[in-house]
Amino acid sequence: MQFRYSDVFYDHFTSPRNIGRPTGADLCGEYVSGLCGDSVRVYLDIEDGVIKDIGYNVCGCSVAIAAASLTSELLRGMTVEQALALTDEEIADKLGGVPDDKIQCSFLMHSAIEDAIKNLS
Amino acid sequence: MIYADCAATTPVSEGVLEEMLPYFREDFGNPSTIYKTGRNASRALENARERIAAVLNCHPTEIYFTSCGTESDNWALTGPVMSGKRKHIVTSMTEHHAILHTADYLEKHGCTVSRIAPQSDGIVSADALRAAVRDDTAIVSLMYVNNEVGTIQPIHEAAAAAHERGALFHTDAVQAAGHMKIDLSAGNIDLLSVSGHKLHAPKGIGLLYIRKGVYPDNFIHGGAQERGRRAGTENVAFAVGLAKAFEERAAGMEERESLLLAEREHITERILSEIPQSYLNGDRHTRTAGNMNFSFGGTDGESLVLLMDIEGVACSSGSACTSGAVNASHVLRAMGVSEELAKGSVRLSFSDPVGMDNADKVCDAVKKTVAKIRHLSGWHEER
Repeated sequence: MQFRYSDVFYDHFTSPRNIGRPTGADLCGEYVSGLCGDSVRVYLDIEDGVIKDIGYNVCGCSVAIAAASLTSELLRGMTVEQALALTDEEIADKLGGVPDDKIQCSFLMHSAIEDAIKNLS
Repeated sequence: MIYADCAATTPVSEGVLEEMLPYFREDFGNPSTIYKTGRNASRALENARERIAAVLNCHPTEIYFTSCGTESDNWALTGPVMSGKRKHIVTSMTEHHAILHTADYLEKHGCTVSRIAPQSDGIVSADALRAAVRDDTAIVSLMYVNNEVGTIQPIHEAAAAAHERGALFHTDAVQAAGHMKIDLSAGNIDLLSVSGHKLHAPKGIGLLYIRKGVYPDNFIHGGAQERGRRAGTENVAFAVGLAKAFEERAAGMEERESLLLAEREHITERILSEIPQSYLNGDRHTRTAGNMNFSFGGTDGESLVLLMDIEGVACSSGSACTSGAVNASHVLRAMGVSEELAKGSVRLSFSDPVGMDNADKVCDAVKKTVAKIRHLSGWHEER
């Protein structure tokens, strides 16, 4: 049966927030899915362990785009620890659900953030 | 909304719907019965067969109604290997899955299958097919028109290659019927599949043409319908609708094709010249008048389709992201299109001309959508 996406999902997919690199966001992370080729590059401005600003570029399916947008909103103001603790289920829930076979697309952005934070010295 | 997905399905025409209605109401009878409503239904069914045969230039007894193109393809491939000793199948890598998956199934049950790669322009060379045909080849199956890239295949040469070694020849004409002239009078095509909903008849009706003297195994058992070869109470209303659709599409075909061609060239020219890193998949000229298939670097097929919908254009992509992996179009990949470009592909397909104003609206929607996706992906900054 065809999966029905939520209004929240469509809102983020059609009007994604925080696209591009914000001024001062010097920390960069990237994730390219080895399975589907979808990619996310994230830019973070972190001060005293808190995400002050965030931006990204995403190339992928609707779930990858909507999830990147929603995640960018969720993460602003979070501590690095809180950001890392975010799960794919939480992101999918906040999007109003995604099909089971696309859940990994909702976590691409988070994987890019993990990559960025790895570079945090 | 501009509907640019006629290769997926077409709306039922008013004329088709009108002709079908009596067979849901007063003449609803089972055509196997002997009272009046059944006799009327039976007469309509045979009349539909005659009308279709007149358009295809064949004999009515060579037309067998089925439920869809996929069923016809399943029968066309399974029937010949079940009825004879030859167990080898030759087909192309760019067939519809109705052929490819049936070939896979038959392979599991003891057949051998040769799948021929297309050229980079999407055309399957008849010489390559010829080289694969053997003395134990039961059937060569090559589609008339490719469903993704619209390329017209050299079916007459392929038929000759099959017959040289005593094999049968089948063509999946689902994308050709109603969109280009099909003339079966030469007698070189043994089996041909059609699907009703691709030519403005309803979903749920198709046909398999079986040339007189060709005897694939019977496909559905349990009744005398369709001369005992495909049992099941006949879908009279839909068969009547299919006949009407064939007649409607045959009328004015040349004029329609010429208008479609002008629109296709206009859209193609604008897209290729106005969008950087855009590519037309499939030979530019040896394709049906209503088909275009483009790839755009730095994009994604599913996102293109959904955003095009928001711009008021319904179209499709051969690539889909499921189960965490992109199922890049098997047709584009077989043609040698890179994974990235296969992923960012979109098909525009028309059955009737939409007018140059709408053609321009389609171009504008494609431009806007590609630009939006590339903005999201940071594509311009990277290049």
